[in-house]
Amino acid sequence: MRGNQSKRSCGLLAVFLLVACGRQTYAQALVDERSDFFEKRVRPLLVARCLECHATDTEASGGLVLDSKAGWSKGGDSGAAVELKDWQKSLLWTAVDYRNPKLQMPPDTRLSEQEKEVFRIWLSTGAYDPREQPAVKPTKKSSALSLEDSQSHWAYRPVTDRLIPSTVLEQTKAIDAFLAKSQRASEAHATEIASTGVLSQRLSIDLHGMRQSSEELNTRLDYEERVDALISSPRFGERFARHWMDAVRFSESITLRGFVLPDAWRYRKYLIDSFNQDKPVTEFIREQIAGDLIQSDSIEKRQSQLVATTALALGDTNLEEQDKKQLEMDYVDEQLELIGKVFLAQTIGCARCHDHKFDPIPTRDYYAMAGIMKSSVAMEHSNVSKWVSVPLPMDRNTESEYEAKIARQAMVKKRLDVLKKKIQSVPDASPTVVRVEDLQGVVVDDTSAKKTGVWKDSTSIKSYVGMNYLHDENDGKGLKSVTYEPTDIKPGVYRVRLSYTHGASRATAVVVRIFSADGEDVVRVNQVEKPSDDGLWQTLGSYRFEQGGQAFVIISNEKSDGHVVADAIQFLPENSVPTASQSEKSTDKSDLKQETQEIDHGTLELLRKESASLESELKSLQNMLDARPMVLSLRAAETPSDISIHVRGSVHQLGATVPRGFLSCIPSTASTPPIDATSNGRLELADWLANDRNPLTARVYVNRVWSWLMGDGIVRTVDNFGTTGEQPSNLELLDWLTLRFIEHGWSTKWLVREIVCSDAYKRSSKCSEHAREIDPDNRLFARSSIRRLDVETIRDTLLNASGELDLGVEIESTIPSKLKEDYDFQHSVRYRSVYGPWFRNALPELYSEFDGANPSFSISKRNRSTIAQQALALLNSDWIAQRASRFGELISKQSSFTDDQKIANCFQTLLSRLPSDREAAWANEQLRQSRQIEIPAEEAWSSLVHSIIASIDFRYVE
Amino acid sequence: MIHRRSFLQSTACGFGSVAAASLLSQLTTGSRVMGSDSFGSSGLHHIAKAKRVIFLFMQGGVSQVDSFDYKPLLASRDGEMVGFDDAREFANKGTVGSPHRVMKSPWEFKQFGESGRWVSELFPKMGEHVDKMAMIHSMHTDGVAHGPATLFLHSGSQNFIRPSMGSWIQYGIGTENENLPGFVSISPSIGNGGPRNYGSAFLPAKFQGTPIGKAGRGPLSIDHLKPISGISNRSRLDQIQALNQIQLEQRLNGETELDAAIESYEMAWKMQSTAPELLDFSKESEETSRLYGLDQKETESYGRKCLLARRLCESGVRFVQVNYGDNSANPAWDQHANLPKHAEHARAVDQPIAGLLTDLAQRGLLEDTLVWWGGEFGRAPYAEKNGTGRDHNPGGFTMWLAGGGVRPGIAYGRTDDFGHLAIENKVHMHDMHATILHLLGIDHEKLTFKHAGRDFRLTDVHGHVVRGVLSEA
Repeated sequence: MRGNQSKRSCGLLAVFLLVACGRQTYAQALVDERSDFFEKRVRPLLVARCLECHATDTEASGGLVLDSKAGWSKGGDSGAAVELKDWQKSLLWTAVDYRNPKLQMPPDTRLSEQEKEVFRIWLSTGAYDPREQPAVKPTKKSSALSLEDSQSHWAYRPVTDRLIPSTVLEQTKAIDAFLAKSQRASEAHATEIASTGVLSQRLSIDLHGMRQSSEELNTRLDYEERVDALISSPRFGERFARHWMDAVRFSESITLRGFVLPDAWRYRKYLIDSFNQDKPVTEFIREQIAGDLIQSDSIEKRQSQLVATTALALGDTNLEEQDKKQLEMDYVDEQLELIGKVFLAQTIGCARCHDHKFDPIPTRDYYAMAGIMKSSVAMEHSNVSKWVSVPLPMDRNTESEYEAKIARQAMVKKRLDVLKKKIQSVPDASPTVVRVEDLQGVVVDDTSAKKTGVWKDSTSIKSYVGMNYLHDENDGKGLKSVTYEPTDIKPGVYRVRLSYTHGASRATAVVVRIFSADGEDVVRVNQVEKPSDDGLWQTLGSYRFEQGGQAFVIISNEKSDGHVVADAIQFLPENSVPTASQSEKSTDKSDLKQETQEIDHGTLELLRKESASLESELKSLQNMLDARPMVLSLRAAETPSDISIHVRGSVHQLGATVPRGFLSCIPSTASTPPIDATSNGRLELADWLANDRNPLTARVYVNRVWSWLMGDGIVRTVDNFGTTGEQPSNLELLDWLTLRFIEHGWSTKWLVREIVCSDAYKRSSKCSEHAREIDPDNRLFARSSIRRLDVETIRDTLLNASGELDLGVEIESTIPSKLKEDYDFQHSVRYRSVYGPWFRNALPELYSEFDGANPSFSISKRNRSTIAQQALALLNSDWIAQRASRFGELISKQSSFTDDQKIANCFQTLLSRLPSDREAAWANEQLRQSRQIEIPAEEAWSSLVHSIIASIDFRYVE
Repeated sequence: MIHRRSFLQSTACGFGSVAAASLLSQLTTGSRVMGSDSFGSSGLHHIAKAKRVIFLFMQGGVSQVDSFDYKPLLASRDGEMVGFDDAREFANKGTVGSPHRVMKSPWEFKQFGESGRWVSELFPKMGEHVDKMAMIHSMHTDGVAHGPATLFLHSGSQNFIRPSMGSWIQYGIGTENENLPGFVSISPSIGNGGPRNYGSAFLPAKFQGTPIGKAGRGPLSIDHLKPISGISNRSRLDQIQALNQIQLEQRLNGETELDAAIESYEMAWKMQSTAPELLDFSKESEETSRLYGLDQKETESYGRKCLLARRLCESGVRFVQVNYGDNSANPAWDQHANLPKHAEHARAVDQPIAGLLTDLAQRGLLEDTLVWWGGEFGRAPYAEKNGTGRDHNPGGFTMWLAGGGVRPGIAYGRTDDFGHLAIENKVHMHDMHATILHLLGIDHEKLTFKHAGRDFRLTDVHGHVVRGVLSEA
C-alpha cells in the first residue's frame, strides 16, 4: 500500500515536470513546479490545519513553528520536524500519519487521505519551502530565579551562625531571645506562661500523642523532669513516627487492586525504634535513601538499614499501567517528589517537563537525580507489575539454611521433571471417556464453550471429557478459537488444567490464554506429547479469580503447526489434590490396543511413589521459603546508568543524556565526590543530603520538628523552602537552632527538649484582641495556639478510656496473615492507632472525617477543617458509641463511688481535669433526667460519657 | 475572581484565626459564601447554563459499536483479519497494525427520533430520548487498563493523586444546599481507584464526595447519618450544646474555631433532618416507580439510584454520580469474553436512565441539569484474541450529554469506518472535563489550586471546550 502511494507521488511530480520542461531548464522547472505545488497545496493546508497552534504569532505549541523553513528545520522540543534524508521518519509525517498514539496531529481531527497525500508529496520531494526568513523569535518571559542568582534566596545560602540577641533577663533561653527581638520590633507582647496543668497536658499530647492518664496527672514532677520522662518513654517514638509516616505517605496497601504490602510494618517499627533510640538524623536519612548499599558487620544494622529503604517503595503506584516505560518514570517521579519535599523542601517534580518556573531547578537537574533513582529496580514487570521484596539479612547459619533450601528446591523440581517424563512415557492403561459430573472443581467442556470459526467434533481418540472433543481440522489458522468461561466461579486461587487427546498429528505449541484477576497469561501446549497429569490433563498454572472479575480461557489455533485439539478446561481450587480415581469412574472402557510397556508395573509404582513424595517435599520447602522474612525495598540495578532528558516529560521523546548528580543550585559539598559510572548513586545522594554543609536538609528537619511542637513552622510552608514558599518568620532563630542541632550530632531528642523547654512553647494561648490584631497568624510565637487532637489521639484516648488499649511491646504486623487485598477490611481495636494497619482503601474509623493524612501523599501539615461530618461522627459513629458504652459500663460498676466521684472520674479520663462546678451541675442534671425516664444505669452513664466526648474540650486543648 | 481564589485558599490552609473565621462564616451563611447565591446564574467565570450534573457512570466500558456508534462495515467484513492499531499492544510493545478478526455486533440497529440517530437494540428505551442528547462519537482518553482510565475519567490523571471532578466543581461553585453534601457518589466501587475517584486529594477535605451506599450491596445510606440516640433527638443535642456553652465560657478568650465547632453541630442537625427524608422513597407515586423500573427485578437496583439522583438534584446537590459497576478488577461492562453479556447490563440501566430523562424533563429540571453518560473507555470493534469478546479501547468511544446548555439531537465527531479510533472532531477526556466545567460557568483554565509549589487544574495543561455540543454555539 505504502509502496504504491510513493510511486503515485513520483508520478504526480513527473507530470508537473513534463509540463514545465518545454521552455525552461530542468532545475528551474523543478523549482517552479515545487513552488507551485507549495503555494497551491501545501501552504493552504498548513494554514488550515497546523498554524493555529504552530506559528510564531500563535502559541508555538511544543516549541514548534511551521510558519517558516527555519521553523520546521529547527523543530520543537522533540527535534526537527522534517527529516529530509528519510522523509518517512519525519516527526511531521509520524504526527499526520496518526499511527503513534502518543503523537497525532492535528489533535482534533485527523487529515483526510487527500490532505495526507499533499504532505507525502511535499516531504518526499524535498519539502520545498520559500518562506526562508526565520520568523520573529518569540521572547520567552521567565520569572524563574536563575542558577547564577540562586544565592539571593535565603534557603540556598549556607546556614550561618547568629549571635544570640542580648536580653534583660539572664536565664532567658536562646530561642526566647531571638523571638523577643522580633516581637519587640513588632510591638507584640508575649503572653504569660501557662499553668502547670495546661502545660503537662500540652506536653503529653505533643510528645506522646495521648491525653494524660490519671496516674500521670497525680505524679509530682517539675517541668523538666516531666519532659525527660516523656521523651524517654516508648510512646515518644510512636508519636514522632506517626509524624514521619505522614511525610513519607506510609501505607500498607496500594489503592489500585487493594494489594496488601505485607512487609511495610517493618518500616514503621524502624521509625519508632529510630526515634526512641534518638538515632542521629544524618544516619536516619542515609538509611532511608541508601540503607541497602551501606556496609555493616552487624546483622541488626544491616537489617534496619535495609528496612529503612521501604520509604522509597511506598508510593501509591499504578502497577496496572500498560506502558511500563511510563510506569518506571512515574515511579521515579514519585520518589523524587518525596525526597524533594521531605528532605529538601523543594518542589523538584515541577522540573520534570520544563525548567522550574520559579526555582533554580533546571530540567537537567531533575534527570540527573532521576538517573540515580532509575539505577535501582523497583518493580518486576508483568501485566500488573509487582513491587520488589528482598530477604531480610540473617545470621550466616540461617541464611545458608535458606540457600540450601532454595538449592534443594531447584533439585527437586528437576528430578520431578525427569520423573514426570518417565511416567508419561508409559501409555495409559485405560483410555477412557470421563464424565463431567465425576470431576472435581469447575469444569467447562467444549460443548458449553463458545466457538469462533468451524471446529470439528470428534470421538476418535480417547481419553476425553464429556461427549466429544473438538479439533480445528488443521485449517483456517488464526481464525478459530474456543472460549471457556465458567458461569459462576467462587473467588480464590485455582489450578487451571486443559484436557486434550495427544497424537503425532497435533500442533506443538497451541496458544492457550488464561484471563484471571491478575490479567492475561499465555501458555503454549505441545499437543504431540501426552498430557502430564493422568494422561488426560495438562496443568496450565495457578490463577487467582475474584468475584465478578474476568475468568476465562481461550484456546486459539493461531500460528499452529498441526491439529489443535480443544476438549475441556478444569478449574481446581488450590490445595485440593486431583484424585487419580477420575479415570476409574469411567463409563466406557477402552478397547484400543495397548502398546508395549518399556517400564514394568512395579517400576512405575516406584516412580509414582517417588514423585508423590517429592511433590510433598516441594510443597513443604515452598512453605518454609514463604515464611522467610522479607523487606519491601529496591534492588540496585546491575548496570547503573545516566538517563536522557524526557522532552516535556514524555517517555517517548528523549533528549540529551545528563550525568547523574544533584541540585546544582546547592554548591557541591567538599565531601561528596562525583558519582562514579559503576556506582548506583543513591549512596552519594544520601551523603549529599545528610551533610552538615547542605543548607537545606538540617534547616528543613529542624523546621519540621518545630512545626510538630509549635503548630506551625518558622517557615510555615514546611515542605517548600523555594521561592514560592513562605519566608522564615525568624531566619536568625532557624539558623541558630540548626547549627546547634548539627553540633549536637543531629539529635532529635536534644532538639525537642530545647524547644519544649523554651518559654515560647510554654506560653498561654489566651491573648488580647490587640495582640491578635498585631499578629493574627501568630508568626512571632508570642502566644501558644490551641491544640486540636488529631484523629489518632482521639482514637487512642477513647480506647484507653474504654479499657481496650493494649500498649504492647515490639508490636509487629497487625495485618491478618494471608490477607491479599485491603477492600472492606474490618479494623480491630487493640493497639495504638499508629499500628494500623494503614490501608488506602480501608482507613481506620474516623480517619477521613477528622483530617487524617491522605496516605497517598507526602503530608507535612494536616488539614484542619471544621465540618458537619465531624459532628455527625461524634454523635452517630458506631465506633465512638461502642467506646462510650464500654466506658459508661465501667463507670456505672464502680459501686463504691458517689455520683460526684464518678462524674469526676469521667472528666479526668476524657478531659484530664476535674469538672468545674457548672459542669458537675450539668452532669448531675443529665443523670437526673435519665433516671426520671428510667433509663438503665449503664446507659445513663454511657450517654453522659458520650456527651463529654462530643464536647469541645475533648477535642481542643489549650 | 482572584479575590475569591485567595479566599478559598486561606480557608484551605486552615490554620490561624483568619481561617477559622472564614470557616465559621461558611458554616453559618452556607450557600451565601460558597454556593450559587453569590454567583447566581452569572456563574463563576461566565454565565452558567447548567447548575448541576448527573453522571451516569457505566463502569468497565460500554462497547460503542454495539450501542450508539453504528458501523455497517463490521457486518459486511465480519470475520476478516484486518490490521488494527491496538492500544494495549502499543502500550506494551510499541507495535501497531497487527491483525485482528473483525467482529460484527450481535445486535441490530435502528433509527430513533426526529434526528434519526442509530441506536442498537441494547438501548431501546434510551433510544426514545436521542433528540435530547448530544452524542459524542469521537471520545478518546488516556489509560488502557481500568484503574488508570477510571482515575483519568474522574480526576484527569492516571498515575498521580488528583482531586475528582466533583470536588473541583464543589471548590469552584460550592453547593446549593448547605444542609446536604454537595458532591455525592451513589454506590461507588471500591475497586479501580475506589475512594480516589471521589476524593478531594489536595483540595480541602470538605470538597470530597460523600458516598451513598456501596457497589454491589447494602442499603443506600450515608455514613453517620441516623437519628441521634437518647431521650429525644433535639434534647440530646441540646444537652451537648449546653456543655459546649459552659466550656466556651470557661475558656474566657475562646478562639473562633471553637464557635465553628459548636456551629457544626447545628449544621449536622440540619443535615440529619433533611437527608433521611431524601433517602425515603415511600412518597413517590407508583407511576414514578414504574418510570424508573422499580417494579422490575432487573431494573430495580439501578432505578432506585437514578431516582435518588433526581431527588438529590431537586434538593440542590451539585454533582451526583450514579454508578453502574461492581468491585472487581474487571467491572460490569468489561466483556473480554462473552460479549452477549452486554445485554444483561443494558437491560439493567436502559429503563432507569430513560425514566430519569423523562422525569427530569417533566419536572423542568433538565433545563439546568446536565446529564452525562458513559464509561472510562470503549471497546474494540474486533474480537479479543480471536475470541468472543472485545478488549478495551481508549482510542475511540461514545459518550452523550443531555440537558442544561447542551445542543440537543446532534451527533458530534466520528470514528473510523470500523468504529475503532476517533478521527474527526476528536474529544479528549480533558476536553469533556473542560466542556462540563464550561456549562457550569467555570473556565477550566482559571479554576486552579496551589499545591506543592504550583497551580493545579482539573485539565492539567490541556483541554478545549467543545463548542460544537453547546446550545449557544
